Amino acid sequence: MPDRSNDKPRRVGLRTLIAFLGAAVGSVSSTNAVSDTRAALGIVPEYGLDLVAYATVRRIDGSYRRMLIDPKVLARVAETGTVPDGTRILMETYYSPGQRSTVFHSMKRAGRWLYGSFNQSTDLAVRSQASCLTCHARAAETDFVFTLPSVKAAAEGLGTSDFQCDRGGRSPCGAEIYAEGAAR
Amino acid sequence: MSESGDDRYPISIRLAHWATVLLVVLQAALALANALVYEFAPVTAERLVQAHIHVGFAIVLITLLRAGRRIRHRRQGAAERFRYIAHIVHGAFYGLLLTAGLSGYLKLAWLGFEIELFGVITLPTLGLYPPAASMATTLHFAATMALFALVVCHAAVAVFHKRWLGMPVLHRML
Repeated sequence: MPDRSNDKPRRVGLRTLIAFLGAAVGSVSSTNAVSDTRAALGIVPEYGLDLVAYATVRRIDGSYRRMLIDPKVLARVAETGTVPDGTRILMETYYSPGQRSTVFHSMKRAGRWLYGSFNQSTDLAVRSQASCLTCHARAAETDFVFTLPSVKAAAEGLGTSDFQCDRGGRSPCGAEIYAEGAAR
Repeated sequence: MSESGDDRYPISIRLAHWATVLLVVLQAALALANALVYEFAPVTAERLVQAHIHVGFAIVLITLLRAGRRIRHRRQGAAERFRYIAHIVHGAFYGLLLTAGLSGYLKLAWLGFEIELFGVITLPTLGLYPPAASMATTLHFAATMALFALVVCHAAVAVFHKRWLGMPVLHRML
């Protein structure tokens, strides 16, 4: 009978090696996915953050909003189907092409969304705000993110969503608009 | 009418009445201004919402004091044949003012938002229940709309008393 007394450490070593290689491949794959997303959606460098535009929501009054998110978050959304803690979403408002007005932004911390905004300076501080929260409560079914269907579409590699909203100004669009407007 | 011929309400009632009128108008203005400036001045909008919350708290407090006083000191305030209607209308006023305030609090409390009053009192949150918050939002809007409809009726009835019944009532609140 062959002596296998030395096989156990060798098998453990082999498992560790396979696990290491698996993690490395996974990491490379994940990095590649982020790079692919960045390449596909185009990086937005203005705010000192790694951001890509995942949606443009056009309003009936001619204004539009460009939605930005961290491509690493998109990779997580693709994996889990949910928006993870630490996610930051920016919404640029435009009243004429290229003329950016207020930038609204939100960040998810401990399962809750905090909000902030800026016009000139890039102030990314967030806090709990009643005015933002009460409006976003209408999107409770999509984790308080109106454009979650577009986030998911971008995460699935379907590209940037670009759709027309049925309302103007501040009012959020109808829920079906966000769902139907997501890239396919 | 009192012996002095002055049939006006006590000063505390008159003050509470006009303070309520002023604060309700201010509430409407704050809500409207918030909707108008939000897009361009979100920081100002949040300040307006915070003011709306504080004014709402003040209205609830005054309404509770008024209701308490009314229960303790009942006074005939309308023509005999309209007395019951007057009771119902005043009850509706108190009910709507309190409902608007309470639903305003609930819609934020069920979204996990911590309301801090005057930097001193922190009202408790009620967890994260968006469907309940949504119902509170609907109730808040409905109570507000009903309140404004009632205000219009209330003012119209004061005119009705003077013009058709020959029984001026407004002076008692001045």
